[in-house]
This record gives sequence, C-alpha cells and structure tokens, in this order.
Amino acid sequence: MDNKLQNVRDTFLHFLSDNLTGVIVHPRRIDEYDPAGDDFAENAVNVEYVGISLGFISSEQEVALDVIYTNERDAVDVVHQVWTLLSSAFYTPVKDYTVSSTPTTLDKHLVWSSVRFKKVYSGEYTHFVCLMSLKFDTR
Amino acid sequence: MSRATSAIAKISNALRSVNATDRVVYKRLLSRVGGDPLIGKPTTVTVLDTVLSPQPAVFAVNQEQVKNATSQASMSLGSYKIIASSESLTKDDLETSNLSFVLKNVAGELIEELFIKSYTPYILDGVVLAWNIFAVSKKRG
Repeated sequence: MDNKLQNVRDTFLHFLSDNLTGVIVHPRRIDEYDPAGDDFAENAVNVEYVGISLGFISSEQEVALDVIYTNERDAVDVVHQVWTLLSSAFYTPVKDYTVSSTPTTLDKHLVWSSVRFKKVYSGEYTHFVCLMSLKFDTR
Repeated sequence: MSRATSAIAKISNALRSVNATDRVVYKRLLSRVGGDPLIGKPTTVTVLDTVLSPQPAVFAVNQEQVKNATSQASMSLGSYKIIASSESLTKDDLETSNLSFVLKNVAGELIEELFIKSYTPYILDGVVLAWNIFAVSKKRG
C-alpha cells in the first residue's frame, strides 16, 4: 500500500542528505535497536519529524531542523547552506524508497514555504532551530 | 602474580559468591546490515546475547542514592548500578555504541534491558580491576 506520509519523510531526508555537501544530516527518531537514536548529534543538521496534519486533499508534515555546532561560524555557514538548498526550488519530487538503492520518482511533489531559524541559547553549542511545514498532496 | 591480577581474581570470586540478582545477565550486541540507515530501514538486525562470566552485581538505585547523587542527570529512579569484573567486560565492550545488558529469567525469557549511561573503572597499578556502571532500564519483556 502506498504510504504517502512515509514517502514524504524519506524523500525530505534524502533531499537534505544527498544535496548538503560536507554536512552530516542526522535523523532523530525512536528506534528500539538504537537507544541513542533520538539524541542530538553535534556538528550536524539534526532532523526530527514532529506534528502531522492529514487532510483529504492536502496534508502537512512538520519537521524541525536543529543545526548544532561547536563553532559559531560553522553553524552560520551550515544555516546558509541549508537555506541555499531549500530556497533553490521550494519543492522536490516525492520518491518511494521501498527499494532504497533505487527509489522510484512518483507523480507528486512536496513543497515548503518559509524557512526561519531561531537561536537556542546554550553554553556549549551554537544551536539554530527551524520549524518548517512540508505540504503534500494526499489524493 | 601481580597485585592487579590477584585483585581481579578476588573480585571475580566475590562476584560469583554475591550473585546480587536472581536474573542471568547477558551483554547484548546489536548489528544492522544493509537497508538505509538515513530513513531507518535496516534489512537484517542481528542480536547476539553473551552470558557474562563472572556474573556482575546488579542493583537498582534507591531514592536516597538519587537524592545524594552528585549529578542528578546521571541517576534517577529506574537506574541500575552494575559492578562487573574486568574478566567479563573490556573497555572496548563498554565503548561499543550497540552494547546493552539484558536480564533473563531461568527460562531464558527477557525480563529487562539496560542501556549504559556512564561507567568508571576501578584501577590498580594501571590495570582495570572492575567496572562501576550506571545503566537505565528502557524496556521490559
């Protein structure tokens, strides 16, 4: 059965990871086999899927991007890299990663609009967080 | 025989005698092969449970220990203290990110799984005699 929500989540993770050169994209998730799966990674772009809003025609998957670096200049560079990538098109085709090595491009897109980073104050890291909404067609 | 070797033997013997838990303690190593780790799709997950010998002493921490802990972040109710001989666990074991401890009953059924939060060695003459490990329970069978 076509799992549109899973396809959107997989697609966005790969979109970031495959296109951010020299940047570690670290997905945060609960995994029974990985007790550290939901920990933040330093010197990486952490990606966590949060709220889900499902509708008959269109739906939204909220995602939090946490850029956490030990050096502020590096953090700012990566924020700029993420913005450059996300603003290059504001959409990407949805793919089916049932066979991860050969994903199938579907006749759907996921889109996003605003990309706004806020600073999270920490004594040890430079931490910027962006909460954005991925919109996709549910039909 | 060096002092450290003698001490390790005594600690191991003491642990064999104490047997602080009625469960059998195993170290569990997890490996994932294939799939796509980025999106969380493993193809093959292998779990290898190895019984620890000598068996470590496993204690649940109590409220008083939690209250008096120097770092509240490292200890809370639901934490366990494990004292293990260096004969049963090496530094490489403890530094393995996929290591956990599982407690099983006599029928071999998993009762509890403990994940390591921190560990400290007991050292004599530069040799690790035993490990003082804090672990947290995240799963019950």
